[in-house]
Amino acid sequence: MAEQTAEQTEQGAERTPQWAMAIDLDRCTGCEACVVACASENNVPTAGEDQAAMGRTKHWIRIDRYYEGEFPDIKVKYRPVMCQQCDEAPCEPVCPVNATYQNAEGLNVQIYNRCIGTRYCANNCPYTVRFFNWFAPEWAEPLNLQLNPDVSIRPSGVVEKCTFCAHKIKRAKLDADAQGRELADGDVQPACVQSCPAEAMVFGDMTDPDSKVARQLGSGRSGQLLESLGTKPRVFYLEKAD
Amino acid sequence: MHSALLLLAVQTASAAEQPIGFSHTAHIEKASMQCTDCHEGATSRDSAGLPSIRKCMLCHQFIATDLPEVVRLSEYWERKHEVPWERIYGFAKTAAVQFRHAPHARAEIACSQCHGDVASMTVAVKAVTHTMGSCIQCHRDNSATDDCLACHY
Repeated sequence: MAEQTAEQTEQGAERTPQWAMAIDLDRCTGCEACVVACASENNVPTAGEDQAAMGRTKHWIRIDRYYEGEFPDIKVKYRPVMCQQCDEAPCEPVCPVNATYQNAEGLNVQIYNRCIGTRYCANNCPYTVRFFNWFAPEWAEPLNLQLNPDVSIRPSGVVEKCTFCAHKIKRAKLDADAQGRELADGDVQPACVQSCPAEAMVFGDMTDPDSKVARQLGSGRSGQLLESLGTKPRVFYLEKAD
Repeated sequence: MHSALLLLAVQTASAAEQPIGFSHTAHIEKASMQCTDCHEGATSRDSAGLPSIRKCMLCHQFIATDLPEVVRLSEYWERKHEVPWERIYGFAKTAAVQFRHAPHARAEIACSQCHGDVASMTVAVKAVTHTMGSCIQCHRDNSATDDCLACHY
């Protein structure tokens, strides 16, 4: 690996970015703009009023709420949770058809047309961020008119989840390539990061020491969700040490 | 015998599919045009695209106006309609494939590699079948990525 890196540097070849996200929990207001932006960007279908009342919604990103103290002296903390893009992902080894794997850029990839719908991955995910499509996706009008052509519609019978907006990563790379330049920090903005009014979320290459996300990770406030499980997530949560 | 009939059926079917018998060879071989003169997005955008009737009429208001196919074109123009061309290449939605023309053009992959020798065809027919095998083989031959995520997302 090190040998390859040295060789690449010598040739001036492009580095393989290692994508990561930092979420500042002290900035998050729980407004759910990211939830809306994600559903809109990634063609995540709506469940309808009746199904939603039974909790049968599908969200690639959700806001977990934590309450501290006794009413009325209550403090609420919010935590946006999406696929943690684990380096040691529990979902990957249980897939019998290799439909989910970690690619060279550290993304936990889900290939829909390889998936046969065993749902082992969703059951093995400690963050419960994988969703099985029991039904073909539907959108209430006029949402059916705003589907994103850059993102495939997932059929029934497969598992889907947050991709770190892989299509936007791809688009940013192609744009940079067309302009004959290297990918710069901030070129890739997943929908949740882009829409966050509090700028609580930062996305980028964590191996680039000058990137915003690398600076956030080095701030001494960062931690991971269910860190003790050893899943090594690529999503880092920043909060004031108690 | 059967195969000859089948071949005939295929040829007439693909010729009949298009509203106008557009001759690629007349434009490319005789008029020395380039593929990208009409399929403008092929080098710069995701989709190569089919030209608007306005593009056809830039020339055909003045050139070869008496040819029967050009007369049919003019009829669409006078009714202010686009020609309802049928696409012959593309991926099924269920394939979940995202294809981008621009990076392939930047890599100097010739149009004919994926579309056959359209320059010698009259009405374009699907000369090359696109399968994941053919895509991956070409990617490997050209040291391009073979990560599933490169196309499936």
